[in-house]
Amino acid sequence: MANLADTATPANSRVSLTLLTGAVVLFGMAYGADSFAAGNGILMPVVASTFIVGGASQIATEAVLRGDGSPVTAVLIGLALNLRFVALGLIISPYLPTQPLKRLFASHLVSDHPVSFSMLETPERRKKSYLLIGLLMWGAWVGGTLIGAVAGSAFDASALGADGAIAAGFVALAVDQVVGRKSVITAIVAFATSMILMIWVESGIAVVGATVVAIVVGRAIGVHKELAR
Amino acid sequence: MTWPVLITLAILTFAFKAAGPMIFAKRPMPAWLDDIVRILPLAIYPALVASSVFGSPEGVTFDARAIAAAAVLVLVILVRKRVFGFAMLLGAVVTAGVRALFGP
Repeated sequence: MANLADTATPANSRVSLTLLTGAVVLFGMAYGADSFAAGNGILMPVVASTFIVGGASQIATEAVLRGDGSPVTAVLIGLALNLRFVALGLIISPYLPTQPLKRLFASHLVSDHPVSFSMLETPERRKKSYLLIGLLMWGAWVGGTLIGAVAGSAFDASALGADGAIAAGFVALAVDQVVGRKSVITAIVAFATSMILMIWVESGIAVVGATVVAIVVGRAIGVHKELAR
Repeated sequence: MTWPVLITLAILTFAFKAAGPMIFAKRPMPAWLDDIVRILPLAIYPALVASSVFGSPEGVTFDARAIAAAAVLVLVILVRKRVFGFAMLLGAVVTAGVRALFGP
């Protein structure tokens, strides 16, 4: 793995990455402990975290099954929450390795933070930054799940503010995208639409719906030209 | 969780992640898609702010995360620099502090 200092910038400094990793480990522990308490043992949540790598979808899928929902419903809810990975994959696509197997493996690391943090880098640093942060987040999520499943169900990640740290990271990332009047309008549309949709649907589905609406509005007002300047 | 659900979700989620990178591995993105990809971060992160700050299994909730997010927003606007580490630390401290003082 590359030395952190090689890719350290204000965006992915040691402090940022350490806090982000800590928050993801705590979330993984919460998921692992909860899944173990539900009778899934240790192996199943760890395998789920290793190969799905989508915290919200894993938690929601288990919740549907526990609530006597059908397996098909559980899968559909999980997939709806992971639909944004198509968009994130498109964003990072130009910066992934070109060799097919490496490209496939790198695709597996696609999630919110590796893509968003690496896109804050200069284009020539994005590939290295994405792989580094992607491996870090993957390890933190799987490792946290294992620790949580072994430790048991008494763990409370929310008391340590892990969800507040993740939310704060998204606030900082969102503000960083705003460069002018049109981008302010697009950001507000995305936020407001997500808030409205969350009244009726799961938050992951609300995010996908809000993203689509914001893209349509943003393209109509020419925000892509403002962002290209 | 059951093994069939886990395996199905893992395979299809991987297909979601790999779709863009594999389709555009050797060909350039069309201009219209390039425009959309340029807008995507601006569209997706504010939506994620809404879900991570106000989202809950019950729908929309106002709790310690909202106070933390407001504090971070003020910090980021005032400092006008990329302060992700401090923003996340502030988010965690404020959230944990509010919960310790006023309960979950």
